[in-house]
Amino acid sequence: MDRKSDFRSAVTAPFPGAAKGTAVSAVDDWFEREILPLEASLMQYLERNWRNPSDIPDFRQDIYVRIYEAAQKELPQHAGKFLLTTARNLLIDKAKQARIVPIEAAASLEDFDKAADVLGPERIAVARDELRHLQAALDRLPPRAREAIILRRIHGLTRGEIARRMGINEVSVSRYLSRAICALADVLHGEPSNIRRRP
Amino acid sequence: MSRWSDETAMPSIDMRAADYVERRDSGNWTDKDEAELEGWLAENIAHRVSFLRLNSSWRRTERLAALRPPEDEEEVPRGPSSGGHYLKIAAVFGLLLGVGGFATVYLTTPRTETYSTPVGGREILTLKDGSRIELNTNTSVRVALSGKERAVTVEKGEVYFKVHHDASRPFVVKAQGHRVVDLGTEFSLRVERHDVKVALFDGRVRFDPDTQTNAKPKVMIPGEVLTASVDRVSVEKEPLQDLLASLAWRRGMLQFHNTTLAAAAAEFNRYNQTKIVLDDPKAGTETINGMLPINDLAEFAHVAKSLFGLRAENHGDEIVLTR
Repeated sequence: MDRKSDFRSAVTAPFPGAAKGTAVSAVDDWFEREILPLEASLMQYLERNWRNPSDIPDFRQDIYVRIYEAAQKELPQHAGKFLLTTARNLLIDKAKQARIVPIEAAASLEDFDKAADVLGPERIAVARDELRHLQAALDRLPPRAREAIILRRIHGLTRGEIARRMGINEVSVSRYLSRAICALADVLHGEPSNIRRRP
Repeated sequence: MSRWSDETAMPSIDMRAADYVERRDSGNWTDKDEAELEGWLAENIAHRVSFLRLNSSWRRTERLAALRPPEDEEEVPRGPSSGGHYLKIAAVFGLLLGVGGFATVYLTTPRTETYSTPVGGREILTLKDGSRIELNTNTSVRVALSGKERAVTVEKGEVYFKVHHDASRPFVVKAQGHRVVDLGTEFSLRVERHDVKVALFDGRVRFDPDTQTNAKPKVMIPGEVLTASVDRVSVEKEPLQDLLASLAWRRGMLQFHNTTLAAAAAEFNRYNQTKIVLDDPKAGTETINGMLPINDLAEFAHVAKSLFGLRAENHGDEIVLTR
């Protein structure tokens, strides 16, 4: 990989489209800088207040869409509060749709305030914890996905090379890689376990 | 987590976004691919947020490489096609996978941890108390956290601190035998050879010089820049605005204010493997103003050309600016 072009993309044009309009790039930057680091708190909140865990990844996605849409009009002042308010509203909407009396969601205003207070310190990450986390994430991957991502990220093999080495086709390789990338994202952004780590 | 054990549980938007993230970071990504991706992102905000999220964590798996303890480098097996770049990643994953029993040693070592960035790197560490430690290019720090004290030793480079003050657990920064003790504050510290430079932006710190200097401890106020060499300590007052400009690196930029071209080139050279060489002594004394992206050597060459008529010759790892 070309080191220079790597830096360039990291600094001047982190995302496609970013270089074109400052508006897009400002919202992208804000989203990445202010919202993504709060994902662990968001997930904790959702898990506490919603019974069905399999809904939660979709909720997270919906919340991010709402946040991003709002931020396009104006960047919210307090990312943490805004995120939690959005999450709360979404849970209430979902509860209504599901015709559930939203006892938990509605009763949790105090929780919100508490959560908003602790968001600062929860921006974790003496990054060393990420290693532990990554290891856990890799361990949980299905073996083939784990093998594929290690070949890609550690050994720098291309899809074609990975396919040959694993004796599968490239479509399967890309599916394994995508699954691994999603799982790693969940761990790196989302899991709060490192906050609770006992010294 | 069981979420990923079931293929159907993963939204297909994420799968597609992950595919783009991975392909975009591989060798064979074309303009046509980029155009296709832009179209897909523009289609739907759900696509965009998914891409942003996955791209960010994908980059973080790479950035972890910068945080490995430098002394581990030699212990790491090389992958088949690994250049230096991948070697570092291998270091991280090698640790993860317990190669040579390293992971155990390293994760149970009590509380002192080394973080470093390569040339051009930047890293933000956030402590649980909310304090921030931002490492600039080519920097190495040791962080030791105990119940009584938060100690950071800057071995080389430049670091910005925003400290959550806690009188019962002081935050102490050490460099070259000097100590900076936080009294609730925001400051940066840079080590250059034997000199240590501390700039205070907000709050107060106490600077305890190395005993060899025979200087007294000094409580700094915002706007002051203290320079400590082996044998003396001096303090200057700088306009806060200029001080803040010196922190542009935190945004990936370099800010110049009546800076000579020679000094600007030296700044760039702190961040980039490819070095700028000024082959025209007279041009070196010309001054520039403004802001440039830290890694944009092409833009710097362009500035030198349009302002001072210098020609840029590319010699691989050097860009020579000449008349």
